[in-house]
Amino acid sequence: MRGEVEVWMGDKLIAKETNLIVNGAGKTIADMMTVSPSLSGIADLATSSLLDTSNYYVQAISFGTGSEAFQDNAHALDDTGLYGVIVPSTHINAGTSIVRFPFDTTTSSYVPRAGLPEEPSPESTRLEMRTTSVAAEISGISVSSVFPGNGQHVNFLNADIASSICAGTVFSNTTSAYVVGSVMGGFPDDTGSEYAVYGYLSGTPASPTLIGIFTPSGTFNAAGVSSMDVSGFVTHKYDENNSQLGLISTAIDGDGSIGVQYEVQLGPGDMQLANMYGGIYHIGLWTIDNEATLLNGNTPPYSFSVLNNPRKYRLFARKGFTVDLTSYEDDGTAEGFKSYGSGNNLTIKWNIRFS
Amino acid sequence: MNFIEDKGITGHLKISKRYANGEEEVVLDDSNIIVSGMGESLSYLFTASGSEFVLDHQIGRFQVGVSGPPAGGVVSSINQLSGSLTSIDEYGTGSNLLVGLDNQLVNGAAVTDQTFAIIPASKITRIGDSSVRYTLVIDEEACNGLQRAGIDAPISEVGLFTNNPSGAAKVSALLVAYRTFSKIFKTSDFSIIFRWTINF
Repeated sequence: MRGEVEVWMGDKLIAKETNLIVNGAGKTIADMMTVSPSLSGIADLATSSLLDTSNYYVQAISFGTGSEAFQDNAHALDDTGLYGVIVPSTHINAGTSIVRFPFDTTTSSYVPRAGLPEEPSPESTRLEMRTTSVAAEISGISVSSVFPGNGQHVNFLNADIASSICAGTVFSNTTSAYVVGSVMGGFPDDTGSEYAVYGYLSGTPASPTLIGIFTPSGTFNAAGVSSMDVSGFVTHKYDENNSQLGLISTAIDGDGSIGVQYEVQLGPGDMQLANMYGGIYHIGLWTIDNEATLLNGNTPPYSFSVLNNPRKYRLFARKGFTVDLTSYEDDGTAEGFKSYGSGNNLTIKWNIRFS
Repeated sequence: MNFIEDKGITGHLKISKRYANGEEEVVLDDSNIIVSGMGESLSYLFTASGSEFVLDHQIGRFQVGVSGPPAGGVVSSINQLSGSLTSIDEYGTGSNLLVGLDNQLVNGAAVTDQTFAIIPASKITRIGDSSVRYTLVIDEEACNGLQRAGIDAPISEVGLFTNNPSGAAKVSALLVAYRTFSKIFKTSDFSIIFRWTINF
């Protein structure tokens, strides 16, 4: 079993490299090989659902970056504690999400600080094993004390998601929820929501400045529903009729080998915001971790859910890149980040071959 | 720990003769051949193109044969034993083996009415995070007095099969692991125990 990842920007191939199948893959296959046949004799939906193959093949893909990125970039609140002053109330009242990032220059590109992304290891169980907790505090309460990092980019930024996931926490009021969404980060929706970007422009280092308000277009939070859960897992077969939504798979046939190709697309807005939150240096394929899912009190079949996903995932394969997949060529002094990727989607094709 | 980028599935087979007094004689202790059927079987699973029932993807059947090694050599493209036992009677009606007739997938086509022994669930043991041991027992009453063309025929090959990965209406097993070994003329004096470990 071996894998290879192709990354396409529009119709241009920008990377084609082998992946690392991690030990979790073998564990999942061994799980599958040792499911007790006695379960088939129990007339119960939950029990029989354990015998469905969907519990054992790849069900999600996720994106990550280096550990240091989560204490920097748009994950960081400004250290002057100017929250509530620098954020125009009109933006909050209008439901506008807020992204703050240190925009060091007046040019268009942003080079995120991610440190050195973690080296590949077959023992990896998540994309970045080191801490990926954000350092920000809101009213003296550490955001990571409620929402610890999980080793990858999450999907908190959408206003509805942020409000829902913060309900019942110390960050439950609308204003705090938006700030949590801002520092945890995520991906845009495609419904035309505005995102206000604050940064430190050259010459005005003392306080953040509204760099602009833009409406990025993403593929994961589409039409008011998401193919990506709040933890950053893009689910498999979200919509079989729409190849731009979620992770899709097709059989590899005709090139002398047998296998499966997984494909996912990131819209320009997805890359734009991933860039602001530290870029993309890791991607991973995940199967369902049945044991962890059951121990979490969930009953199969495990339906995908954005806010409270019953599926607990196990890393199957991982790919690390030496360059940020969201890197964007400088465009003079124009605000090029507003037209990220020139409208092209980033397509990831991940081929797993079994012979 | 495995630092190569490929995830290689490997196997190890230990074959013993076990006599009535409890004495065991090891006749083979070596790696096996994971054949191309393993990839084909996993492909059915991961492309969701085969059976949706996970038990169909499990290794749950085995065959022994009398014509190993195959004429073409022991290679990963082997998709059937070269001389598998041909009837339930040859496996031994008085034995504890559960034997039946099912189809076998060979080069994508179903070969009908092949004889398989079932591996009881109690003989499938998880022995590590990614390792499973299959214990196959040819008891004293099984596979005795085998003959081909009127001549005593020794057991010399064995294969593991996934049950029905393609999800065919009639069970169609697929060879995934294979091994030949020194000839064993089976008698009622001993049983043969195959301790087969697959590392996924």
